[in-house]
This record gives sequence, structure tokens and C-alpha cells, in this order.
Amino acid sequence: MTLHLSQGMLVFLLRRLRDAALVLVGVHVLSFVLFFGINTPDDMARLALGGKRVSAEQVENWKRERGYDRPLFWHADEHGVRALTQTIFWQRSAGLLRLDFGRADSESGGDIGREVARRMAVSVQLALPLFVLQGLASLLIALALVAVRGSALERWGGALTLLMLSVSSLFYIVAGQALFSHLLRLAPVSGWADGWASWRFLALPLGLALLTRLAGDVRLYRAMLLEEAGKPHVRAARARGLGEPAVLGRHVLRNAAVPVLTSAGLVLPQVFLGSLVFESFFGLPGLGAYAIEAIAAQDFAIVRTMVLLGAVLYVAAMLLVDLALLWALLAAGLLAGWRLRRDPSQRRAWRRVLATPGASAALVVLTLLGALAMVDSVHFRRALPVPAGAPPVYATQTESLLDLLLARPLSMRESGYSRPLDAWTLTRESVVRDGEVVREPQRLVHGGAHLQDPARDRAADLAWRALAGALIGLGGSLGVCVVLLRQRPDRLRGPAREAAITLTVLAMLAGVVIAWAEGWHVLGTDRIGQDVLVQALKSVRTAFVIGLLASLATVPPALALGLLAGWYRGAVDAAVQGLGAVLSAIPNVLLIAAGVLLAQAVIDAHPDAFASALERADAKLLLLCLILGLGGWAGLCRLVRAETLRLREQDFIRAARGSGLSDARIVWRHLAPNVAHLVLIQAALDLSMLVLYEAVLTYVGVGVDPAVQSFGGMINLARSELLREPVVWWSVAAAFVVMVVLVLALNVLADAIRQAFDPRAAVGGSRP
Amino acid sequence: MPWWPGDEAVRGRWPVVLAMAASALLASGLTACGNSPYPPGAAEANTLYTAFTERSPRHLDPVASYWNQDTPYTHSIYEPLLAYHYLKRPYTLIPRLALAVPEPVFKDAQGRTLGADAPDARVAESVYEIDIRPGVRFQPHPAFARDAQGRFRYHGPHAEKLADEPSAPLDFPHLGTRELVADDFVLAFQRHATPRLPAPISGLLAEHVVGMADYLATIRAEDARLRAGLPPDRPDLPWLDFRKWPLAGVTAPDRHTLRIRVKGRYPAFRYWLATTFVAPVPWEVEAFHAEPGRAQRGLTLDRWPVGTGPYMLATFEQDRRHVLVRNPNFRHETFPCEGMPGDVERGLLADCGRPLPFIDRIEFRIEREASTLKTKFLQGWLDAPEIERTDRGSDYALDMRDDDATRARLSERGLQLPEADDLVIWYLGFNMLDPVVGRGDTPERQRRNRALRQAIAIALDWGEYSRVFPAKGGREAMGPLPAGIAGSRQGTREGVNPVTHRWVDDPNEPGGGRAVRRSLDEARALLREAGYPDGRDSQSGQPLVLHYDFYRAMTPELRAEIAWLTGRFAALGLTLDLRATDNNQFQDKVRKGRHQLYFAGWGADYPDAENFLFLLHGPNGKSRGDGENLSNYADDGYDALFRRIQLMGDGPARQALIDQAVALLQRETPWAWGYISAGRAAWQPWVRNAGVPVLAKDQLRYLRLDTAQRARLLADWNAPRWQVPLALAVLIGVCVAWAWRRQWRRRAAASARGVGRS
Repeated sequence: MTLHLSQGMLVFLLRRLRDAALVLVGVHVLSFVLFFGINTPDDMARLALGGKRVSAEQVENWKRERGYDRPLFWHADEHGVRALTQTIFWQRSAGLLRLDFGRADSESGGDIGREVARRMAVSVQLALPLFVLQGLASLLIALALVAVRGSALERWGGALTLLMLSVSSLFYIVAGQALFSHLLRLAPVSGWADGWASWRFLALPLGLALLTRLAGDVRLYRAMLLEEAGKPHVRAARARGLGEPAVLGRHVLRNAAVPVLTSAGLVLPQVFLGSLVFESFFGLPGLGAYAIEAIAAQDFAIVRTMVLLGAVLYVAAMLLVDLALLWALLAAGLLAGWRLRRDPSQRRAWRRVLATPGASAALVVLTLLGALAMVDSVHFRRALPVPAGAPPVYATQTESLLDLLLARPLSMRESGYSRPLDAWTLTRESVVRDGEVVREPQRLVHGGAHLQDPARDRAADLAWRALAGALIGLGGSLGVCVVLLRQRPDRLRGPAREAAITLTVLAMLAGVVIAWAEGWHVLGTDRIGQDVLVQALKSVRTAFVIGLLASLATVPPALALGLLAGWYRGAVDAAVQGLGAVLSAIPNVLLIAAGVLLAQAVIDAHPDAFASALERADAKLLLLCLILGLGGWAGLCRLVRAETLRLREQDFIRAARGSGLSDARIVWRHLAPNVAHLVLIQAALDLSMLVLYEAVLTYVGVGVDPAVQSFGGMINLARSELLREPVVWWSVAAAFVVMVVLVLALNVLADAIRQAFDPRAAVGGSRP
Repeated sequence: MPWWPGDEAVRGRWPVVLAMAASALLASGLTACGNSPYPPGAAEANTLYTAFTERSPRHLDPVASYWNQDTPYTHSIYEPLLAYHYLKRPYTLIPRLALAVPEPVFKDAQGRTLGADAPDARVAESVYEIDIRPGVRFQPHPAFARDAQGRFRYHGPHAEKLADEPSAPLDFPHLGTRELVADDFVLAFQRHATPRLPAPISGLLAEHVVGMADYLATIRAEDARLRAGLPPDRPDLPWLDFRKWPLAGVTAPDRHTLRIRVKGRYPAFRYWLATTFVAPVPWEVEAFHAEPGRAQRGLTLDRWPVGTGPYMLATFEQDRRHVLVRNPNFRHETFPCEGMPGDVERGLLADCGRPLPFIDRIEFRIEREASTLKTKFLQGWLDAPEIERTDRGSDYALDMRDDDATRARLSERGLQLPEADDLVIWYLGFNMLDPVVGRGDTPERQRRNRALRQAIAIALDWGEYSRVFPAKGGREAMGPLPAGIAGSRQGTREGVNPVTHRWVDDPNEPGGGRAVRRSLDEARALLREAGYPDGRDSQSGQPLVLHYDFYRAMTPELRAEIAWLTGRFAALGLTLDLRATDNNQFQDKVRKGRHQLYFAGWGADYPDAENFLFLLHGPNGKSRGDGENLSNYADDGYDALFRRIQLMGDGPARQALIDQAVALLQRETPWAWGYISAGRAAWQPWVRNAGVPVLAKDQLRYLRLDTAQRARLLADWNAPRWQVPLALAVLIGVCVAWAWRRQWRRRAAASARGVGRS
């Protein structure tokens, strides 16, 4: 028996190792193709040599010394095997097999292997404590919340985690640095020291990284623990008179340990490479920072190594988890018995969504923001005056409907920074007053220009406008409500009341803002005097476009491949799984970076295909969404595949098969509708994550085109604005508030959808 | 469950115990807290702390080093023959390793000596005989170390094999030194022929130094022979011993005399003698690095420079940290006693006659984020943000201008923000090969295109740009020459560009006045002349769209600048379409001549008009000759003028030619001009003798630290504030714990009751 088991174990292990090797080969080929799609060796040489007075001979020298003077895949001038081996691809791959990472492409780069080893030490010092502390802290908090489940404390805790989840990690970093280093002077703002002294530099990033990820994990673990707490054996234990501590500790925690450990193990590689933004911000010389720098410097040798390294980590973690799962197989078999049947009624589920507190309010907020995005998506170009009979000529400027609505604030262009609702510039100019040169703030051209003496009349003017605006907003909203009420008087209960209240509050807010915006810059102006309110509103469209399109882009491949894999199993399944594994094994940011750079290279190579910079920017935005979506389908695909595998053994599918229906028909008519809820849940969760992701990608330099207004751009600018004196806080504050409102609404809704459609699913968010 | 005690008494107390333990731990941690990025005692040490922002220096080999961020190292470790006086302006050459600033002797084709005023055509060679300073010794280095028999320990036939060789030269057990001789300079010139490193001025030397062109070919052939059969990507290569092949133009007649033969007249040559390109290199160091295995481990001159300067490189951690320490073999050199008027009042001559250098150690650490760099400097942990940069102070000057509290705080702190004219020009150029903005093929087209360029040059108000982006901008450029170099009239009445500006006299001050930019109406008139009334083609009615080929991918930081530029074009009714690509693709476009409008900058190699005028020299065109003339401007008249300027010594005749050339450029407007950076450095109050490192990059040797003042001020500025947040954290913690406990009790009681009932 033991012999048999260990043999099975060995076969299993070998098979997993073979799969892992295949995945790594796939990753290597993919990264190679992606990178050389962007850069020719000539480009790399010129970038590395850089600067003044570079001759063609130096470029050739550089290529020869680094082995880039060969063709990529096929050397036509060589014969036999040498045609394959005398290529960049073969030479580089052979080096990797010997674990010789080679020399960095940059002039002063040096040996990559040694550098990776040194940096690995730094990254581990951040990642390992983070992994352990994060696991412990989130489990502890989740346990504490479960222990008081049903109470107000738990509700508040849940709301807090949802709020924390809706804040971009960049905000945590920027605010944490300002607070703990600048204001409280408790920790160095950045830097590194070897040995024990490193704790001084690690404390702040560690704390902030913990805070960033805590919320997601707490929610995940809480869901797992709650599911466990509802199981019959737990109820039985309680019925036996066991005390609550014993029930929680002995039954709930012990049984939830398997899923908790599994999910924690899968997070390990993410913890490792996900720290890259933190490493970069805090000047920690780790692997993540190395990768980001290499992307910026287009150092292929380093990027390739990092991609492979990340893939190795991922594959290793998967192997570990697999082994752990083998032991847990027995437990899993037992769990399956208690699965609840899915509720067949979609209508009831949706009603439950709305009945969740906050969901209808979130829906109202999202509808309004969505409408804003729609209005901003209608683009047009004005016709220019032409002599009669001549063919029409159009302006080169592209405008949107929102631009028309915002014509007034758009036209209120100032010369530089100004505070919200202020009548003077922030910066000072020299003026001659009584023969003396003094530096003083200037009156704004538009903001508060209608007042004779703003210092005296500003408060009254603002109050008057606010009152008028609020009243109009209130009136409008009440009117809408009355009209609705007349039709169905019984409607104003529960979700509808919540929606009505939200609508009223928003309408009053909008009224005030519109009334103010007539004569003031409600959220101040930026460096070149553009209205920040306009920018924040226009960023909403970008966020929506990215979130919607990218999560839509994941659906077709994920659904198709997942269904196919689950239905046909065997070779199809293996192929799909392999492809998914390759994509998931590449660190997400690197994959996206490579994809975006490639797309940009293609767009830049065809400048005449696009009439204006805006069209080019739109194309880039679309491509970014596509890449985000294509890079992210693997997760959903796995879920769909698992569900299909389960469904194909169900009676109704067997019956369909028995009645001779074609495969396509069964998959399309019977399977697809039954996995739709998974798609919905995953898409709702992705949406909010993608909006946050955009900010991080913009930081790495592969986000949306800066010609397109986006939250990521605003936050990234804010880093320097927060440090200048006087502090320019309104831009980042506007981005923060609008973004949190949007993402929070998305999160609340996603949460409600998940609870309503799939009470078991404990899908946590991983976050950049 | 050991961590969940069942005993009622302990269960009641454990949160209290836990909270006490946690707060004790927190308190002990907090008292050790502080925002210092250094170990204790750092403020008192005679060490200068500064940062570098992108990466480690690309090259430290004197042949290859051409980047500004290399200069703090190269100029502190290597010493050239000449240098610029630290305080005197305009820039004055002083001897450094030479005994005097050399004057060339002119010879004709037959080798006869000519007078200084001989006609250009007769001068075949200028010969520089340079006396080398005797008694100068190189820094300690293992390459010079000899054993008891006088044989080299670490290279050559008797080299010791160390089991575990150190990765830094100074960590070798035995170090040695040697006196500087003229042959070290000969080797320095010869090394520019190397094909193993990028040698940016080898082409220039081949053009001007006798025999250098042939020497390049010889060395290439010899290198190919040495490398035959070796894999091309091998870092360890057989030693290329330049001493085997003499270079005709550079010889050492005796131990302390160096003779350089330059073709024809080339007055600017003496400026090249003040660059580290010609810093002496001892052959022993070359032999040391050529030992097998050393290059593989990073032991090369490119990473570990060896010189006679006041400092030597002790630590080189790639992209993380570099440390310079005092060279114990540095000769006696003293702080200058002469300066400019006002330098005495500013305390710049207080150290007159004291031996250099003052500082023991200089530590450079990576600071990649602009925001953390600023924070650390304001906290006082950096003595200067980046010592080689000339623009780091403008940010702080700006904050002080706009905020009274900041001004009060920073001036009370005594922050030093010295100003100096920088020798960098940033310009927006037109590609002269372009059909719309370029030179044009027919005379009619040429006239129209010129009018369009001139209209744009008027509309781009770089004065406004500098007001909107004060941290970047500077003075409006009237031509290609920045103020402060020989031949420039920038900033004077004669220098005003008549195309873009008008001179307005000051009624109160005779002879006074200022340049005023021509109005947009004048620009619009020119635009009509060009055939684009209101920015629309007069024939087709289509709006004119111009393409701005930008040299880097757009980032949110650049957004505002692009918006400004687009706005200036829009004021004329023109549409500016941005084509931002990464630098590779930009360079590619420029090489192929497919760019239209572009932005670029040039920093002076030496303070002479020729170094800027060559940027528009026809044969130097980027798309045709892969030179530095990105505009591909080519004009026979200008090229002839430039060649005469290049050969002529300073004087009124040369000035007249320069004026003529600049006037030609102003009329043709191959650039829409731009701005000349205003140099402003930033230093902490305890750094003495600090200025703006515009051309004299060897400033580290002159700096002095008041470490007592630094220690006092740093302690004062950075006292940690942990009491309030700690109290707040404890309060919140206690509240949450209390609330949780109450809920927990209630729940436990409820479930117990429930169980009791059932």
C-alpha cells in the first residue's frame, strides 16, 4: 500500500515537473518574441550607448560583444544545425539552461546572475515578513470579525475593509511617506542598508504594503471562515455545548485551514513580485525595482531573466500548493457533499442584489458616472467655414459632448495653479508698486472675476450660489421622485428609498457644483491653469473604458476556452491549461508592459494611420484594454472549466447528450448559461481592480497615453505637487475622492452580486 | 489550543497582557526610530553625502566617459593637463598636471617654425610642448605593488594567484604607487584608438592629431588579430598593449615632456586638454586589468578608475552606492587666493592657501524618485541633491518665491542656492529636409517656408514658458550661443534677434532698454505671407497640421508642457500634433530625416562659440552624416564662415565672423530657438566654498564641511514626533478591543443561552 502510494506520488510529481518545464519554455519563447517585437538589436545598442557622438561602428561592436549580431531565429548563411544554433534565440536559450544569465545589455550593467542573487536577498527581506505578517494579521482580524458576526462591529469592519480595498495603493504610499517620514520623522523616506540596519528602511514599506493588501485578504478569509462556520459539523459541535472559543478554534479554524493555506500559497509569488512598486518607491534595491528599471532602460537581458524568474517562482508555488492539495483531497471530498444547490431564479438573485444595503445607492452612483462616461465618449469635429460650393473642411480638434457641457469651465483657462474656489493665483509675480518690485499673487482671469473685492464678497457669493444650486437640485430630484411615486406609490420602500435618497443627495451636490462652476474653479486649477474638476470628470471615462473593455475582453477567450477544456477534456484541456499556465506564470506587470510597448511600437511605426494625437491615444487605450483582458483570462477560464467539469456529469446534461443533441448545441444552450454567473461575478470584481491597476501601470510608464485624462496620470503628477511649497493638494484630492467613490460603488455592487448569486464563492481580490 | 487558553481567569486577562507586550515593543521600537538613513555618527563624520538619480556612471574609463553624471568621479580621480579656474569668470584655463598653459608653435609643411600671425594656409602643424609637473604620484593601487624582488605582484609572469581575489582594487593586500611621467599621457592618447570601448572623441582626434587616423586603423587590425578565434562576447580579452605601436603625433621626448602635433591651426585644442579624455593612464593598470578573469569580475578601468587626483574610488555597488575616499598620495595643492569681485564677501576666499582636499569621504547613494530626493535634501540628509547638476536649486528657489512660510523656513535654515549662467541651450528645431517647414525646393517655396518658421519662432514665447515652468526654463535664446562663452552676444543689445524681438529703449536710462518679443499680429502677417492665413492653406482651405516629434514617451509630468506648446501654436491657428515615441524611435526618425519639429539640447564641451556653431554645420547633418546637426541645416555661406571661425584665434576679426554667422541663422531660423538654462545649485548651509558646477566639474576638492554645525542642525530638524501618534494608536486600539470584547461576551452568552434552551 505504501509502495503504491509513493509510486503514485512519484508519477504525479514527475508529471507536474514536466508541465512546469513546458510552462517555463513557453514563457521564455513568449517573452523573447514580445521583446524583439519591440526592439531591434540596433535600437538596444543605441539606447545603451546613448548620448552624444555614437558611431555606427560602436553599434556594431556593441552587438558583436553581446551576441546580438546574429539573426533572431534562423541563420540563412549557415548550414545544417548551425542555421539554428547561430541565432540570438538559440544562444540565449542555451545560456539560460546553464543558468548563465549573461551580461546586462547596458554598458555598465555587469553580470546579471550576481546582481539577481544580491537583489534577491533584499526582496526576500521585504516579501517574506510581508507574507507571514499579512497571513497572520488578516487571519486574526478575519477571525475576530467572524467571532462577533452579526453585530454592528462586524458590519463596520466589513465596510472599512471595502473602503480600504477601494483606495489605490499609490495613495497609501504617497500618504504614508508624507506622514511618517516628513511629518512625524519616524522613518527614512527611502534608502537601504545591508545587514540588521535594514529594518529601519523596511518598517515603513512593510507596514504600508501590509495595509494595502490587508483588506482583500481579510475579506477572503472571512468568507472562508463564515462558510465553515455554517457547516453542519460546526452546528453540531455547538449543539454539543462546546464554548464559542472552542468552536471557532477547534472546528472552524482547523477546517478552514486547507483553503486558507492554499490561497495564501498562491499569493506567494504575487507578494514577491507585487512588491515592485513598493521597492521602486522606497528605493529598495530588490528584484522588483530591477525589473522596473530594466523595462525603462529596455534592457532585454534583464527583463528576460526577471520574466523567467517570476515564472519559476509561480510554478514552484503551484507545485507546492498541488502537493498540499493532495493531502487535502480527502477533506475536499467530504466538503463536496455539502455543496448547496445553486438558486435557479435569476430574478430572485437580482432582487437580492438590490436588497443588499448600499447596493442600490452604488447602482445610482455608477449609473450617473456611467452616463458621464457615455456623454464624454461621443466625439465629433466641427466644420470650418468654407466658401460656398467648396468641399467641407473639418477642424483638427476632436471634441466630445461633455466638452460642450463643460464649455464654461473649459474656457476658464488661468495661467497657473490656483486653490479651489480662490480668486488669486497660487504663484506670485513681480509687480512694480510705488516704485518698488514686490512679488504677489495675481487676480485670476476667470475664477471669481465677477467680484469687485473677492476678499470681502467671496463667502457671500459662494453661500448664495450653493443655496440656489442645492435648492434647484433638490427640486429636480423631488420632481423625479414624485412622478415615479404617482405610478407606484408602494415603491418607496427598501432599495427604492435608498436610491431616491442617494439621487437627491447627488442632485443637490451637482447643483451646488454647477452653480459654483459658473464663476469659480471648484477644485482649483493645475499647473497650466486648467480646471481640475474638468480633469476629474474626464478621467471617469478612462476608468470606465478601461474597466469595462478590459473585463469584457477577458470574457470571450475565458468562456470559450474554459467551456472547451471542460467539455472535451483530454488533449484540449491540457493545451488550454498549458496556455493559461504560461500566461499566469509571467508576472502581470511585465506581461502588460511588454504588450503595451509592442502595441506602441506598432502605432508609432504607422503615424499616418491616425489623423490626430487623440485618435492615436484612443487606439492605444483600446489596445491597453485588450492586453489587460487577454492577460487576465486565465483565472476566469479556470473557474469556467471547473464548473463545466462538474456540470457535464449532471443529469440534465446527460439527458441532453442522450437525446442526441450536438456538442455545440449542448455547450451553447445548456452549459454556457449555467456558467454565466461566474462570468458576472468575476467581471464585477475585475472592474474595480482594473481601475486601480491603471494608476499603477501609469506609474510604471505603460499606462494610458498622457494625452488621455486619467486618474493614474493625476496621481503620478501629485507626487511632485505634494512636495512643492505651497502644497498643491487639490488635484490629488479630487482624483482620490472621485476614484474612491467610483471604485467603492463598484466594490459594493460586486459584493452584492457575489453574495446574491454565489454565496459559497469566496473570491478574494488580489491587487497590484 | 495553547494560544487560546480555556481557563476563565487567564481568558479574561490575555488581551491586556497582549496589549501591554505590544505597546512595550512599540515603545522600544519608537525610541530607536528616526528618519535618518545613515548609521549613528554619520553627521559628525567628515563625509559629504549626496545622491545620484538614474544609474551608476556609464563609463569611468577616460576614453569613454562623456556623461555629466560621470563627472563627480572622473574629475575627482583623474586629472587632465589643464583645468578651469574654480572662481574666475569668464572661464580661465589654469595648468593642472602641466606646469603651464601651453602655447603652440606653428610649423609649415617643411617643418620650419612660423610666427604666430602666419597665414592659415601655410600652417601645416601646431606643436604643443608641454612640461609635466614632476613629483606627482598615482593613487595606491595593486597594479603598482611589487614583491621583494621588485617584480609586479599581481600582473605579468610572476603574478601571485590569490585564492579569493577581492572585487575592489583597494582591498588587495598589497598596494603600490608610481610617479607620473609623460608616457602616461602618450598612452592616454593612444587608447582612444581602442575598438573595445565607445570612444566618442576618437573621430575628432583622428581629424586633428597627426598620425591618429592611421593609428586607429593599425590598432583595429591588431585588435582583430588578437581576438581571432575568440568568442566575440568574451569579456576577458588579450592585452592590447598600445606601447608596441607608437603614435606619430603624441610622443614623450623625456620623462617630463609631452609633445603633441596638431594638424594645421586648431585653437580649440587646448580646451580638449582640460577634459578627462586625455587624463594620464599608467600601463601597469592596463596590464593588471588584462590578467585573465579580472574583466569578467568587473575589474576594469571602466569601473575602477586610477588617477592622480585628490580622491580614489573605494566602493562601487552597481546602481546603489559609490564611495570616494581621500587619495593619501595626493600632492600639495592649495585653495586659490584669487577670485571675482564679491567672492571675499561671500566667504569664497576664506580658505585661501589651505591644502586641498578638505573632505575625507564622499558618499553617493541612489535616489530614483524625485520626490524622495527632495524630501531627503529638505530633511538635511543630503548635503546636495546631485553635485554635478546645475539646475537642482531652481525647485527650492521657486518654493521660496511662492510661499512665505517656506521662504522664512529655508532662509532661516541658511539653504544656499547659488546662481550662475549655464552653458546649456534647449531648442525647438525644424528639420530642414521637410517639405513644409524645411528649406524648400523652389525659391518661392523657400521664401514661404522661411516665413512660416519665422512666424513660429515669434509665437513660441520662451519667456512665458520660463514663467510657467520656472524649474526648467531660463533666458530666451537670441541665437545658438549662450552667454558666458567667447563670441557670444547673448543678453546684450547687439545680440537681440531682429526676427523675433524688437529693442525698446528705456526712457529713464540712456542706453538702457530691453528686448521685447514681436507681437502675434506680426507672426500672423508672416503666416499669411507663408500662404497659411489663419493657419489654413490658402489654396485647399485645409488646416495646417504640424508634427512634433518628441524624444521620449509621454508621461503625465510632460503633459502640461505639451499643452503649453500646443497652445502657442493654436494662437496662430496652427495645430500641433504630438508624436511622442521613445528615444530609439525618435533617433531612428531623425536618422532617416522623417522628423518635422523636434526638441533637443546641447551642453558645452568647452566655452567657445565653435562648440555651438558646429551644431548647424552642413557636413555635420544627422540624417546625412550621422552628426549632431539634427536640423540637417546646410548652407554653403554658413559652412564657409564656420570653417574660418574654427581655424581662427580669438579676436575682433573672429567676433565679426561669428556675428555674421549668427545673423544668418537668425534670418533663416533653422531653430525656433528656445531657452538657455539658468544654473542654480542647492547646498546645505554647512557646505563651504560651494558654487554651480557649470564647466569646472572638479569642485569636490574645493568643498569643505562644517560637521559640528551639521550635527547640531540635523538633530534639530529631525527630532522624531512619536508621542501623539502613539497615544492615538493606543487609544483606537483600546476602543476597538473594548468594543470587540463586549460584542464577543454578548455573543458567547447568547449562544450559551441558546444551547441551554435546546
